[in-house]
Amino acid sequence: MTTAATQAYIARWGPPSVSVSAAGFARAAVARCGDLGRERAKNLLWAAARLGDYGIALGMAAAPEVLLHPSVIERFAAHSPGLSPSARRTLRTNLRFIARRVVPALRPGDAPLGRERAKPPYTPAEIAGFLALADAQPTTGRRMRASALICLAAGAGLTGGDLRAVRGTDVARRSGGVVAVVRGGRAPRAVPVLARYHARLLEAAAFAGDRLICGGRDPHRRNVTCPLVSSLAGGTGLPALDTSRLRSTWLADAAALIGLPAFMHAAGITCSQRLGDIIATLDPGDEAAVVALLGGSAR
Amino acid sequence: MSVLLEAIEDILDASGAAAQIQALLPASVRHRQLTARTLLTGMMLTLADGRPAHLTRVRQALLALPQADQERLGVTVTWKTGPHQLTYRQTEHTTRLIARALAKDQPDGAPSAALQAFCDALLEASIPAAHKNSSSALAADWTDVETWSRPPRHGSTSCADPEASWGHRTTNLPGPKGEMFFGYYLSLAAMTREDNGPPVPELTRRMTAGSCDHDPARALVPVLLSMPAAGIPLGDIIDDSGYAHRDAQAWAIPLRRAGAQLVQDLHPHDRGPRGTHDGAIIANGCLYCPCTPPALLQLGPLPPGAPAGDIAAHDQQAAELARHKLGKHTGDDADGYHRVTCPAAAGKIRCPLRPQSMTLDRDRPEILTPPGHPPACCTQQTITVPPDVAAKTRQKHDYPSADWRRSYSRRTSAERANSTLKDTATTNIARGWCRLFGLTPLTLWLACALVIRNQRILIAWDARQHDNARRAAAGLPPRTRKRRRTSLAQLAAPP
Repeated sequence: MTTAATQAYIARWGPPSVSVSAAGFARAAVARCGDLGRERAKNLLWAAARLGDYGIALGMAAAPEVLLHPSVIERFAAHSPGLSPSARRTLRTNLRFIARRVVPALRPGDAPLGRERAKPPYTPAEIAGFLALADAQPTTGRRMRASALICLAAGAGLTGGDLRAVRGTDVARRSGGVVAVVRGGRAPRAVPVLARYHARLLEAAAFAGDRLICGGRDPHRRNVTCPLVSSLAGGTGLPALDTSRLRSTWLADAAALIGLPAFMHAAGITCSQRLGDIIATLDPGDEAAVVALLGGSAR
Repeated sequence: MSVLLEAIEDILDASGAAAQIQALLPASVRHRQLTARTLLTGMMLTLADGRPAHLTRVRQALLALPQADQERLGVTVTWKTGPHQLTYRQTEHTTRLIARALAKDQPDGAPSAALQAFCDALLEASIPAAHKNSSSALAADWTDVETWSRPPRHGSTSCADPEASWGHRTTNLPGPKGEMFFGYYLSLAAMTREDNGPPVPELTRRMTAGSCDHDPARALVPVLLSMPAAGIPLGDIIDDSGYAHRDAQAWAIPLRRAGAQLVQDLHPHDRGPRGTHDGAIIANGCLYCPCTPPALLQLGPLPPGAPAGDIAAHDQQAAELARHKLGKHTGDDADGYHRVTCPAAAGKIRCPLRPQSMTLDRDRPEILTPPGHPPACCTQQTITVPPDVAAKTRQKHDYPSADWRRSYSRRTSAERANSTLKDTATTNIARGWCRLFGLTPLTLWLACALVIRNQRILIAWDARQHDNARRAAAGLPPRTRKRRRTSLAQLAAPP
């Protein structure tokens, strides 16, 4: 549809369910929004008209400077009666769009900032390189601690405080696999370790005994892993060791193990927020089932 | 003795009015057969029987009493020549003497102090002790009372009733909505329920009458002010814009000073913004934030019978307006001064001039463009309001909020009192009802008519209470009146 046709559509828009003054406000506002398709214009007209009806009923002037003020849009979106949550979000987005076009001075646009994406997982060759570096450490203790760091982060997805707090006794062979128990922190849990890290991790755990498996005496000391990470810096042949990337590696391996990519592709899901809401109500299963799923010998 | 006659005599004796009038009458050489008490009894019996206020009817009513009552009241006495029944001439003579005794020396169209005291005493005595304190709220209204006299011819001022004058009345009949009449205004104050209180019998507690060239609102004020002096506290006074439009000194200020709380409709000329005080907008008897949306300040009352959708929209706007009101911080001091708080400081709205208020939830209105040069009401937490600010329009509830609408609906008690006085089935005070000229005899008859109306109301009230108790014992709810109003939507709906 051409712009002229859209403008004509906007000019004659006026459904009977919308008051005359609100429809007039909506037409005047959307006409100043620039090039729009007919569907987009219709959605914006409805949003502006709903806002107009709400504001006029509260005695506000049907002027863009008043009704499209960020405060009024927020009040309408949050407190207008009879709207579903999704309708509120859609209306607010559309109204903010109109406000940016019609009264840009009321709310200057945000400066574009970079967005953090998930860190890329290490390749199996890179993981093998890190393990080789761990084996090349000069002392037994450092070899064990470096191996434990890589195995727990890439094999069980532990990072930060969870990783620092693991003791040798927290790693055990049980339920048909090897499990690392996270005792403190935000989410205490038992995490199955991927099969290919079992031998190294068990050896490191036996060496640590009841001491912290990655070294140090105080798990709350934040830089426990720093010396280990710096000792595993592999020069130009390997990327820097990052526990977050090690966790990404574990996430990718675990997702592949349970067939998550195929499931999300089939479900047409790209973002997991709603999936998380749904899974929160489901039974996570017992430890044996989890170990069989994530701690199997396939990887 | 009939129950009604007993009630009438009890009222007369409790009021002491008959005795006071009797004392005012000139002493006669011969014994006066018809006393003031008997005449007033006859007047009330006449009205209770639904007859017009004619002296011939008074005599008929008295002569229709049982012989024992006639002898007790002096309607029939034994003369030397034998039994003598009351004559019309005696009835007329005593009436004339009473009217002369209660009238002013120079009639000016206003009742004398003695006549007003008679009306007050009689009406107060007609209210049973059980109902005297059931409510302090009064609904006030005035109505027209035509005189029997023809108006003066063009170019002259002489007529049979020189105290009467031309007045204006509004009619609900087809044709012109307003018309002139020649006669008097009757003002009355009827008891009505308290705000959100239980129903009470709508008894007329005070009345006054005056020529149409006297302001009926000003005439009612001293009558109402005499109530606190008599130990009857004033509560809510519910009145229409006819009273509210008067000068503040004529109506609102004296009543407020006597302890009354006004609930009144505002005249269209008094509605909306009417100046400022320390920067705050004076509108509808309240002070509002200077940045209140102008459309809200123009909010008027709903018309009668508004549909539910209109009522909801109106209440939403009234609630939005209330958020912009400067709330009362203190009560009135001895001089009538009080302090009010900025709505943003009170947390009712968000205003950039009060940074703390901007942290409040967004369900509150926000002042989008605060004044560049903030007035005192924006820079101070509170401001002092002297009694002369909105003296005429200040009232109990925010005008025209839902609370005000519910409270103001009680004013119909006064309308019902007026309508029963003009009920063609019982007492109809239309022209010809009373054929006596002058304010005094007419006021006497009107007072008696209101006493009889009070008795009718009490009888109906007792019957309704009895019926409600009977229904409650049977597990039924009280009987409610059937809705009479039929909307266009109901008519358009398929059967």
